Formats: sequence, C-alpha cells, structure tokens
Amino acid sequence: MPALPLDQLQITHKDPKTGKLRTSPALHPGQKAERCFVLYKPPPKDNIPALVEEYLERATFVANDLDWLLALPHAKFWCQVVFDESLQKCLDSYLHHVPRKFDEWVAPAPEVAEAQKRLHRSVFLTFLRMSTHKESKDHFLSPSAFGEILYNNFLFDIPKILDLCVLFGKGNAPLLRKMIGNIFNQQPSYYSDLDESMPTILQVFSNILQHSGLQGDGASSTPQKLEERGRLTPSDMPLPELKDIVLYLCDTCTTLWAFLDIFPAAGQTFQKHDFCYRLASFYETAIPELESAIKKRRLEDSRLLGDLWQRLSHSRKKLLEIFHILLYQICLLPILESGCDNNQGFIEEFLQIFSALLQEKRFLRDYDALFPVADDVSLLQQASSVLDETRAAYILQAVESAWEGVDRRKPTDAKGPPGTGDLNGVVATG
Amino acid sequence: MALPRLTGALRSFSNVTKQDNYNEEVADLKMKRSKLHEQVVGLDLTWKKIVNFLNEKLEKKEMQSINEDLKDILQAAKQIVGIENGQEAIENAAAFLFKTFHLKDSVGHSETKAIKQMFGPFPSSSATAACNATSRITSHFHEDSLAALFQMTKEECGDRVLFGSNLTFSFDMHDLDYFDELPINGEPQKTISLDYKKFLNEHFREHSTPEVKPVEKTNDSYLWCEVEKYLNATLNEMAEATRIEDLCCTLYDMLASVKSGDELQNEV
Repeated sequence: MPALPLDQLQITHKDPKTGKLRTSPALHPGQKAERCFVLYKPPPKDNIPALVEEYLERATFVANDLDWLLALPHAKFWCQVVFDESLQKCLDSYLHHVPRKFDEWVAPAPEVAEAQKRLHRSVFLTFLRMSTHKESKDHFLSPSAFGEILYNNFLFDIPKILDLCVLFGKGNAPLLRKMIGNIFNQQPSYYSDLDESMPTILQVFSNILQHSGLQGDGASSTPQKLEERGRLTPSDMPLPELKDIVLYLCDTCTTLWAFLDIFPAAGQTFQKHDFCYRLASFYETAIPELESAIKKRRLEDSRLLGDLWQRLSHSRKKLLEIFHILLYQICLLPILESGCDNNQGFIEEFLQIFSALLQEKRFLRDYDALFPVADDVSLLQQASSVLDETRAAYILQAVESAWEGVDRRKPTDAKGPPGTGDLNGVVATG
Repeated sequence: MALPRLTGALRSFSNVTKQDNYNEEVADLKMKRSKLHEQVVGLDLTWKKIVNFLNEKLEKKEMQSINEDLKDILQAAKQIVGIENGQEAIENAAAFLFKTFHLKDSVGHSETKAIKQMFGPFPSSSATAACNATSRITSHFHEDSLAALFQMTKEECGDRVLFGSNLTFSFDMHDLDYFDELPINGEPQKTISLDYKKFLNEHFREHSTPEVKPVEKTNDSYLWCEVEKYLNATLNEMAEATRIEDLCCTLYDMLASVKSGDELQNEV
C-alpha cells in the first residue's frame, strides 16, 4: 500500500472516556505531548555567576526539549509543532533575542558558549524539519497542506525568516536557500506578507532619519510632529543615542542584506515599494552626517566611536550591496537570461532607477566605486540594439560628475569581494 | 534584550499583544519544573526498578537496614517536591536522587545544580540525607553490578535518533566586515608617541653599543616617520638608515632639550 501523506492519515486509538476504539486524523491536538517549552533568554552581558547559572538553567531546558522534539517520529513532531503554542513561542524568543555575532561585546564563559552552540544547532534543525515537507519516502505532507499548515499556524513569518537568514546564512547558506525557497514556493502568501511588511521596513529608515534630526523623505507629505521638531543632530546628541542609532542601522542593514543574499527572489517585492530609490536617498541623507559626527566626536570616547565607525562602514557597504542585489535581480539577471528579445522592459527599469537618483551624488560615487556603473551600462548596450544611447550617456555622465572634485580611488585589487578595502578611500571629502 | 533590531520593530508592529506574553518568563520556569517531575524520570530509571533490583541482589537481613535507607530517600524526596504532587512524583524524585548520588559520596556543586534544575530551590539538608542514604545502600555493591543496573536503563532511551543528526552544520555567523580604523584628518590612524625623551633613551642609547641591530623600521615615533618620509622623498638613493638615525638623533636632542628656542636657534 502506498504511504499516505500525514495530513490525510487516520489513526485508531482508544477513546479515554468510553474505552472504544476510534479513528481520528493523525494530525490532531490529542496527539500532542504535554511538554511546556520555556522562553529563551540571551546570556548575561557580563559573566556574573548567578546570572550565568540562571541563563544555563533556561538554556538547558530549551536544549533538552529541542533534542526530544527532534527525536520524535514524523507524525508526533508535526502534532507538537502545530498544536504546542509554547514551542512556537520558545523558537520565536530564540530567533528574536539570541545575540548576533556582530553585536557581541564580551566573550561569554565557556559553558555559556557551549550551551549557545548546542541551542544554535538544535534551533536550526528544528526549522529545517519544519520547512521540509518530504522527510522520507513514507513520511511526508502533501505540498498544499504543508503550505497551509506553515502559514495558518504561524510556524514561519517574515520576522522569523529574516532572523533565520542573519543567524544561519553565513555558514549554512545552501540549505537555508532550499528552506526559504521551499517555504515561499509552497505558500505564496508569504510574498504578500513581505509586501505588507515593506512599509514598516521603510519606516525604520525614516525613523533613523528622524531620530538623527534629518528629515525623512516622508516628512514632506505628512505634517511634522511637534515632538520631532528640533531633534538634535548626530553631532550634538548624547553619545548613547548616537550609539543606538548606529547599532540599529547596522542590524537593519545586515539583516536585510542577509535575507536578500539568501532569497534574492524577494527583490521584486522590495522594488514594488520603490526600494532602490528610497535606499539611495536614505544613504545620501544619513551617511555623510553620521560619518562626520563620528569623526568629529572621536575624542569623547575613542573606543566607542572607533567601534561605531566600523559599524557605520559596515552598514554603508551592506546598503550598497543590497542595492546591487536588487538591481541585479530586477534588471540585470532578466536581461542576461532573456536573450535579445523582450528585454526592453528591464532595460527601461534600469534606466529609470538610475535617472531617479542622479542627484544623490555621494551615493552614486560610493556605489560606482564598489560596482562600476559603466560595466552594467555596457551590458545593456550589448543586450539591446535599440538602447536609448542618449539616456545611457546621460547616466554615465552623471556618475562622472559625481566624482568631480573627489580623489578617485577605484578598487584595484581584483581578489576578494569588490572594493572591500577601498571604501575608505572615497570618504575623506563629503 | 534592549538592543534595537529590525525584526524587533517588525514584530512589535504586527503583533502588539504578543509582546506582553514575554512577561511570563518567571511563571514559565515554575510550570516547567512541575511538568518535569512527571515526565523526565519516567523515561529512565523508576523507583520500582530500583527496589526490585535491590530485592533480587541482596539477602533478606541486609534488606532490613536498606529499607530504612530507602525510607530516608523517600523522605528527602518528599521534602524536595512537596506532598501535594502525589506519591508517584515523590517516587520519581526519589529515583532521581538515587541516580544522582549513586556514584557520589558527598553533595557537590553539579549535583546541587542538577536537583535545582529539576525541582527548583530545595532544602540542602534533604540532599545531604538522600546522598548519605544512597551511599549506605551502594556500599553493599560492586561498581559492576551497579553499572549493570544503569546500563539496563540507558538502553531504553539510548536508541533514539535525532532528526538531522548526520547533517553537517556550520556555526559560522555573519560578522562585521573589516574596515580601516576611524581616520585622523583623513590619514589612517597610527599610534604615535610624542615623548621624545623617552624615545631617545629607549632607542638610541642602546643602539650605540657595538652589536647594533639594523634600526627597526617599525617604531612608533611620529617624528621618525616624518624624517624618514622626508629623506626618502628628497634624497631617494642616498638615504640610508644611518643618516636617518643621525638626523633623528639631532632632532630628538633638540626637542628633548631644556634650552629655550632662542638658544637652540643660535646653536644651529
């Protein structure tokens, strides 16, 4: 007999009240074990023994429970995942609160590091199991039911997916690509969720501008709130506030970049919200201001400001890389794939994206240093015989003029990621 | 916890109510412990198994004193879990205590931790009592026969297979990309010393001995770097280490000198 998918499978069990045999779906709340997962809390910032112990107790609970969960047979695992709310909360608390490598300040005690590693692996494997609809020949879910189960029970949502990418994307990229791709494939509703998250993501950028006393580009359409008026600029604000802004920026850029790196197909959804332009104009407004503030204030706390400088440089690079991923996904890749016909639309999109941001000179310069615009334009020229040369030339000329008056040091090192070392070469004048 | 995060903003935007749920933190540990005594011990070694084992292996008359010890352990377990959890919970706790102490002769840090993890805060006197009673019991056995008891129970839970256990997993996480340090006036930062007196003492007095090493180029003096740069630029081929040293010496002497500017000017 061919195996049935779990969502159609019936099992017989004894009714506890009447003692009679009854059949019910295998995927049923009654099959869930009483386990009671606890929430995850991150390790203490400083290694105070009492706090370390408290952390270890919690971490051990979570790790043991996850081991137990991973050892469950397929049907039991899915019952637990779907019907145990405490499990979902626990996983969510881990993804949300676990320290990212880039925000760690103090080295943890060895037993804490050990517990962290154990948890890290188990959480990943749990999400891997949840994103696999076919675990083996006999144990599987039908794809449509799988998509429904994931979405309706909030097993995955956009924040979780972003967290997964930033936490596991570096070391486990191929597997994570499959996971995330599978989730979006089987449940296209995640695209609309992403779409609905975009205004919030853009709002994060506007908030950063507002908190820095630099008006967001939304500010012209909505009346300025009273309390936002007269915010201090990065040069005058209290140092902890500046630190918060840079940390927030750094986390935001890294997370978005890690997500797009794993799942570039999300690019179209981003661009629906005019993301490329918003990104460039944010860059133009925020980066020079933050840079000069950090430089100017370096003597107030040279260690902290040195660290903020690293984070800001990192964020800049991630912003540029995000822009490039989007551009590649939206225009360049389709042009490369489509051959010579039908690529007019993509070329037009490319020209429009650049035409919109020609006045963002600082952005153009930094972007051009990392990903030379001329290379992309020449790709368009090869791909289309009817390219509007005037417009292409206009863009190239704008890029040239963005460099005027600036010592141009293009990346010369062919090895490694483009321009890694050279970003600093172009920042001196602002 | 308070670190600002993109996904934190996304979460609080999409589910305002859920944030409150995280205030359950203290309550969830309590609940967890109350569930633990029901579940964990059941998997493993039960009190019944222990008592059966002892009855099989030991003589009747030995059992008389041992029954007292078993009672002590049960009493300790009762104090640790409380009576309200019922007889079964107490027996499970007693089995857990026996298991914890069967190879120990005193209550150490790790045992305390294990019990606390399982039952929460507990009176330490009960742990000591349980430990003593357990070692009185185990003193009747060879280690081998005890090992057999635990071997038996281990096998019951040892054959579970974890999903993904054969999967290669990398702990590598995204980090900050490396960039140059915050520049001073557009120059990359160098640690420079302006303490010329100290520099002079450290670097030149010892170099005047015969076994002079080639002058280290990796020194940290601002002046040294500048002189070197200047000489390299103007005298290109003739510039040798010794000349740099000479010139530097003179300059250091002048800088470190206590004489006034005018006096120095006259000397030159």
